Amino acid sequence: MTAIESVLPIIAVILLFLVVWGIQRALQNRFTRKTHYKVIIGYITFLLVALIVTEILEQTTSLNLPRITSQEKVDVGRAILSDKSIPKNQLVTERTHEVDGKLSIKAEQREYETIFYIERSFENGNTVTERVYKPSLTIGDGGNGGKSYDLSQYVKVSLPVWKGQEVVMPFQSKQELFISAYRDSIFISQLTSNQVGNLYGGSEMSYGIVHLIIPENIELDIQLAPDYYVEVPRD
Amino acid sequence: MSLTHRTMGEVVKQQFLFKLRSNAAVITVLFVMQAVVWGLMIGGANTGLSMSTFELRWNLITNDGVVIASLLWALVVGVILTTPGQRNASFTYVSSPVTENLANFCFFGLAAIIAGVTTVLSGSVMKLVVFMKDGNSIIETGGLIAAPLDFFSRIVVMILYTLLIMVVVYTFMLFVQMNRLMIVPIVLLVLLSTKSGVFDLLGIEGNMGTLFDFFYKESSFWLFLVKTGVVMVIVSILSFFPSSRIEVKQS
Amino acid sequence: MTVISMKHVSKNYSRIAALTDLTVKIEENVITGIVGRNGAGKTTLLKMIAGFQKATKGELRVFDENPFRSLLVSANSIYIDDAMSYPGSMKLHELLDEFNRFYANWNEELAVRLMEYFSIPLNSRHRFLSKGKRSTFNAIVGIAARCPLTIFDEPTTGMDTAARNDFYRALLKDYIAFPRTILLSSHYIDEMKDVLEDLLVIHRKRIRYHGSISDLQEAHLSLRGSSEQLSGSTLGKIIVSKTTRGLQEEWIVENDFSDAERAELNRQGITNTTVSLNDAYLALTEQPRGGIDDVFNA
Repeated sequence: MTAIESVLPIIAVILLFLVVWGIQRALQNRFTRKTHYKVIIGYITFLLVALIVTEILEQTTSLNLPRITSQEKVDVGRAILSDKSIPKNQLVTERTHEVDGKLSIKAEQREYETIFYIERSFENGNTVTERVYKPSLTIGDGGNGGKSYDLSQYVKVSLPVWKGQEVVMPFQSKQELFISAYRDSIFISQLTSNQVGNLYGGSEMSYGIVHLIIPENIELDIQLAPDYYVEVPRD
Repeated sequence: MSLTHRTMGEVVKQQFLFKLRSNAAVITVLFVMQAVVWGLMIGGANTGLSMSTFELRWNLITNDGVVIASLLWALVVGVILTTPGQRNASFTYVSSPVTENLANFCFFGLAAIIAGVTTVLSGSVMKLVVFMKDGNSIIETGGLIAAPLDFFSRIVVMILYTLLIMVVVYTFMLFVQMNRLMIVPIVLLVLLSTKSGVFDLLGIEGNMGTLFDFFYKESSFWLFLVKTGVVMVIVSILSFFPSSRIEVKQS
Repeated sequence: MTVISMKHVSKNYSRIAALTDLTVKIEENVITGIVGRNGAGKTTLLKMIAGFQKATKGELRVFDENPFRSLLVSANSIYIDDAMSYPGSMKLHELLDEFNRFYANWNEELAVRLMEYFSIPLNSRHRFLSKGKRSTFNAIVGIAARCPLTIFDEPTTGMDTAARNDFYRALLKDYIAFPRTILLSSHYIDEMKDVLEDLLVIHRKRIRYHGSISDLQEAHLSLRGSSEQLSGSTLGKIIVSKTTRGLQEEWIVENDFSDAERAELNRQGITNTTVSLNDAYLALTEQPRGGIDDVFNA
C-alpha cells in the first residue's frame, strides 16, 4: 500500500465530514423547531408504512430460492463421462424414440446452450434413450463455503424435436431473466444467524445436456458444431 | 430570597429534554442524509450473464450507503455537541459541567437509537424499490417477520456502533477544546495505528484493521455488547476530565 | 448574609492577567454597579461569579460555594449579556418556556407582559430582532427569572433612551417586590445611578472602590476658581483632576477638608461642592476631564 492509498480514505472521511457539517449548519437555524418536528414525524411514519408494505410483499411476492454450496452443485457432464449416478432432480425428462437404422442430429441455430452427449450402447436395436438434464444457473459467492442462489428452475429448457430419422434442436428465442435483490448491509450483520453472503461474487451457468444412448447398429450423422457435442467413450 | 436546590438528576433530565428540543435539526439532518442516500442507492449494482439464448440481469440493492451515511452523521453529532455554542446555550439555563456531560450522553443515546432504527428501516424503503422494479424479487436478508432476531440484532449493532462513534469523537473533541495541542498526540496515534509497521516496532501485533476486527469480527451478542460497552464507559469517564475544565463563554 | 466573597482572587488568560488580587464581599439583596473602563476586567469578574470561568488564584465563594462547576450557583444565578447563546431554531416564547422549566422563581406572566410592553413579538426568533430589541429581550429574561443572584453585564447595549429608562425602572420595581442580589455593569454610570446602592469600581484589573454611592460622592470635592486661588488653597491635598472652564478652573480633590477649611474656601470665593457620581467615578479611574484635549493641545 502506497502512502497515497493510506491517506486517501482519511481525506475522503474529512471531505464527507465537511459536507455533513455544512448540511448541519445550513439546517440548524434555518427552520423552526416545529418544522423539524414535522419532518421527523413524517419521515418515521413513511418508514413504518414502508416496513408494513414490504413485510407483506416479502411474504407474498418475493422468490424463495434454494441455496446451494459449491459442493452441492452437480456436474452432470462429468457424471455422464465417468458413469456416476445423477440425482433425479437434475433430470427434466427421459424419453425413448424408435429410430429406423439412421439418425441425424442437427440444430437450427449456430449458438445455443445445449450440449449433446452421445453414447453408443453395446446393444443392437431401434430404441434410442434420451435423457434431458436441465442447465444450472447459480448466482452469488459459492466459494469459501458460501451459498449461492440456484436459479436453474427459471431457465427454460427446450427439448429436441424428433422427426423420424432426425433429432433437431429447435430455434430458441432469447430468454431474459431479471432479478432484483436486496440485502442488508454486511457491516451490521455480524450477529445474524443467517450469514450474509457476498452477492457480487458473480454468476455461473452450465449448459443443458441432452444425453442420448444410441444402439450400436444405428448409423449416426452428426451435423453439429464440434463444441456442441461430446462422444462418450466406450470402455 | 431563598435558594433553590436542584438535584443533579432533575437538571440532567431538563437539559436532556432541552437538547432534544433545541437540536431537532440534528435528527432532521440524519433523515435528509438517509433520504439522499436512498436516491443514490436505488440504482443498485448491476451484474449479469449474457449468453446466446439466455440473458440474466441481476440488480442488487443494499443499505450499505445508509449505514455509512449514518455513521458519518454520528461523527458530526459527536463534534457538534462539543462546540462552544452548544455549551453556552446550556449554561444560559441551569447547568454544570457534570450535568452537561450526562445530558449529552443521554442525547447521544437517543440519537443512536433513532439512527439505528431508521437505518435498518431504510432497508424497507430499499426493498420497496426492489419490489417495484421489473422482474423477480429476492430478499436475501429476511425482514421483521422472516427473521425477527436478525432484524433486531442489526438494529442493536447499528445503535452500538453509532453510540461508540459519538462517544469517542465527543471525548476526543472535548480534549481538543480543552487544549488545542491535544490534537497532535491523538492524530499521531490514529495515523500511526494505520501503519502496521509501527506496531511491529513497538512489539504489538496488529494495526488499524485489528482494532476494527476487535468489534467487527465479534459474532457473539454478549461479547460484542461487553466490548462496546466497556470501551464506551472508559471513554465516557475520560470525557469528564476535559469537560470539567472547559470554561464557558470564552470570548 | 454575604452572597459573594472574594479573597485575593486573580484571573489570568494564558499568561496575561485579567484581574489581580480582588478582595471583596457583596451582601445579599444589594444592587451593586460594576463600573470600569474598557478592558478593566468587569466581564471577567462577572463570568467568574456566574461560575462560567475559573479563578486562577484566590478564594471565590458564591452562596458559600466555589461557583465554577457549581450546580447550586447555576440554579440560583442568571447571567445576562449582549452575547446570549440561544438555540437558533427556537422562537422567543419557546425560549421563555425553557427559562420557566429551569428557573424555580421564573414569572412567565411578567415576562409576557414585559414582552408586550416593549412590543417584542413572541413568535419571532432572537436573531431576527434588532440589536436593541435583542438586548431588551435579554433584560426581560433577567428580570423575570427572579434569581437570587442576577447579573447584568452591560444589559442596555443598543437600547434607545426610552427603553433604558424603562428597563431600570422595571428592574427597580421588581427588585422592590422581590429583593435579590443584583450586579449591574455599564459604561454609563449616570443611567444606573437611581438604581444603585453600592458601586464596585474596577480599574487596571484591581478593585479601586467598593462602597455606597453617597460615600463615594462625599469622598471628593469639586473646587472652582482661578488657578492661583486653587493652588493656594489645596496645599497638601490630593488633586485628582484639573479642568479649564473658560476663565475658571475646576479641580477635583480628595475630600479631607475640615469644616474650618471649607469655610476658608467659601471666604476666598472658591465654589466648593460635592461632585456628581459620574465625576467621582471618572476621577477614580483617572480619566481627567479635558484629558483628551491635552492630546490636541500638545
